[in-house]
Order: sequence, then structure tokens, then C-alpha cells
Amino acid sequence: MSGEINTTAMLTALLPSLHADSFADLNFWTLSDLINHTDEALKRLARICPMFVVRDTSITTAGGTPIYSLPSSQVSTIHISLLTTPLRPAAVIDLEARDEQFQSTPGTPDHWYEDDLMLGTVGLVPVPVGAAPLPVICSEYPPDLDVGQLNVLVQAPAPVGIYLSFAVLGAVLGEEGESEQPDLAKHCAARAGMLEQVLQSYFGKG
Amino acid sequence: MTVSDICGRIYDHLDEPNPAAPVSVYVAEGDPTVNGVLIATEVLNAINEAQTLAALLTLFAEKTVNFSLGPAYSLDANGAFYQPRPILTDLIAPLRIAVGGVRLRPSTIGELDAWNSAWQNTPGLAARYCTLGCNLWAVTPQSVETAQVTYAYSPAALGATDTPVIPETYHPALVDYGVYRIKLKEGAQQLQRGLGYLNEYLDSMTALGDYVRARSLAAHYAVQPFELAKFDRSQLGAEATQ
Repeated sequence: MSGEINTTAMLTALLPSLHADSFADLNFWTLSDLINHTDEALKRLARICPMFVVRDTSITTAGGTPIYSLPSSQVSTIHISLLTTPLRPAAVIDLEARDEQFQSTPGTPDHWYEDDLMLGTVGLVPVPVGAAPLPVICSEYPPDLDVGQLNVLVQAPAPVGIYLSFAVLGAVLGEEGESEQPDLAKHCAARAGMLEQVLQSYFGKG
Repeated sequence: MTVSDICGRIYDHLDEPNPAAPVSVYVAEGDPTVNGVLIATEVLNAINEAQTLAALLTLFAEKTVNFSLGPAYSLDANGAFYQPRPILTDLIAPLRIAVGGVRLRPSTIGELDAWNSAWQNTPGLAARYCTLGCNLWAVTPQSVETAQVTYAYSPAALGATDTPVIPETYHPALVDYGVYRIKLKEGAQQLQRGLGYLNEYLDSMTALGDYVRARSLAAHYAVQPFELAKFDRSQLGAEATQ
């Protein structure tokens, strides 16, 4: 245990709320359904609350290359440095005002921008002339919780497990069909919503 | 109250005539009986959930530990960035960080950039820190030292014979939440009845949160508890019972 939530244990604790003793006893859902709902809730949380922030050091600049791909799980970019010097975020309109040739002017980067580019990429201004580490701090999706249960851990405070529990209950009990319990689904979704507000008050809004 | 006392009281509220063999909760094989009370896993999970939620809502549980700073412990070569969760496994949020008894100033990463563009590589006694998400801290200037970190933590899961760490005044709130959580699964009328207990629990947490906030403000902690009094409980469907 190193500060992680075990989602298998979290889902096991949910079984009585779903009137089951084991995953095999679930009448209307499967373990895969529950895992998928957990993963979706986790990703929703990552979008609305920047809890899962990482410092990615995998990017290195290359001479003459102005655009770089961000990590595939990136939700939003918080901070970029060139080695240890912070770069300033900028809008393309401001960069154009400063230098109309900003996308090709070589030099040591001092700004970064994301607008006017494909999602998941970042541009550096001036365009780098050589190789240097580009550490990026960004809010990310946590790794997928897969139905094969290769990854069942979430690096987050324990109370996030309560959020996931209510989000899953709200989702499964709101599914159209014999198992539907609209009042309970609405309440559980509201409980998850309450916890989203609490987590945003501590970790910020996405 | 111990966990068995709290379980017993939950069974009382559920109108269970025999606390050694309750019928309205799921009983797992191997669930222990303590002092004549069956500690059903479902009820124990509800009590744990109540205490963990209380820790998040009110930040009542805090402790101070040593935290090593320096390149040997950081993500980067200079000692500026740290992942605290593998070390502070029960961390919710840092409240106060000090080095040698001198408090570091909480800052945003934008403030650090504005303060010193070389903050990621400035040797010296740590003076400022910033937190990013639930598992990334930055500290500047950098040196090898031991920080004292006061942080809000999530209490460890309770066992059948444990006593909750939440102040004893609020142990009845764990009973309220436990009853709500057991009734929740039935929906409809049982849910409505359970909401009354949830309201009692949230009232208790509002009071505890106000108390912790007053203490935190006096101590100038970096993070204050959620203002539960401002939360619109009607979203929970609880307006009828407020």
C-alpha cells in the first residue's frame, strides 16, 4: 500500500448495496460494467478537478522543430520549462503581434502556446535551435482501469474511493431496465457531485 | 465507543432484535462477533466510510511527520519536485510545511515563476512550496534538509475491535451514517428514512468542520476545511427531512 486506492476492494465493498454477495451473484450487471463505470468516474474527476498532476520529462526539444506532442493522457497543461527555466504561456494573437514570423524565428524558447494547434500538442517560441529537456507539468487522466484487472490501483487520497463508489452506484442504478432505481440513482449521483465540490475546494477546478 | 458499540447502536436503529444475528445486513463468512455483536463487513465498511468522509469534509485528522528534502528524494536532479504520496500514504492535503521550525510560504507555481525564474535550480534554505494536484509538490530554494510536514490525513481502516480516531463527541455521527448507509440500498421509503440520518451526520460534520476551521485559521494553515454549511443539501434529496 503506497497511497493507492484498490478499486477491486472498493467494488467488493459495493456488493451489498447492489444486493449481491459476490460479483458472480450480480443479477443485472457484470464486474466489467462496474470497472468501466469506475474508470469513467475517475476520468470525469480528472477532467473537472486537476488532482492527477504529473511532471513529464519525456520530451526533448530538437533544433528547428517548433511543435511537440504532449503526453497522450494530458488533460490540461499547467507549466512548461526549458531545462529548469520556466516558459511563459502565450496566445497566438500576442505572439503574432510580437513577431509575425514567430513560428520560424530560431532562438532559445521563452514562451509556449497551444491555441491554433492540434489538440495534444504544444508550440515553442522562438523555435529551438538545439536539444534540451522540456519538462511538462500537466493534469492527466490516471491510467485506465481495465476489465482485465491488470491495473486496479488509483494513486489518490482514500476518500476518492467514496466518490467512486457513489458515482458507480449512481450509474448502474440509473441504467434503464429492471434494475433501475431512479430515486436512488439520483441520490447517489448527487452524493458524488457533493464530493466533486469538496475535492475541487482542495485541489482546484479543471 | 468502539466499533462493536457503534455496530450495536446501528442494529438498534435498524430495529434488529438480535445484534449477534442481524437480518437487514449482508453477513460475510468469517465476520467476527465482538461482545455479542456481529461485526458485519457491510456495517464495518459503512463506519469506515463515515470516518474517512469526515476526514475529507472536516480535515479533523492531522499529524506532523518529517519529510526529507534534497536530490536523493526528489523527482529532479536539483531537489525541486517531490511526489509525497508514496511516503505520506494517508495524505489528503498539506496544512503546514516548515524547515527548522520556520514555515515555508505556500505559493502557486505562477508565483514561483514570477518570484525567481531560476527557482527550480536555486541552492539555499527552502522558503516556499507549492502543491499541484494530490501528488506533486515543488520546493524552492533547494538544499538537503528535513522538513516538518503537518498534513490532513485519512485514518486507517478500522478493525472489529478498534476505536475510531474521530473525537468521541462525534462517534454518534458514525452511527447515523451507518444507519443511512444500510438503509440506502433499499431505496424508496427506506432511502427517505435514511436521509434523516444523513442529515444528522452532515449537521455533526458541519459543527466539527467549523471547529477545525477556526483552529486552522488561527494556525494560518494553508488549507481550510470545506464549508459544509454552504452546501445545498437539497441536491441530495434531503430537503424534506431538513
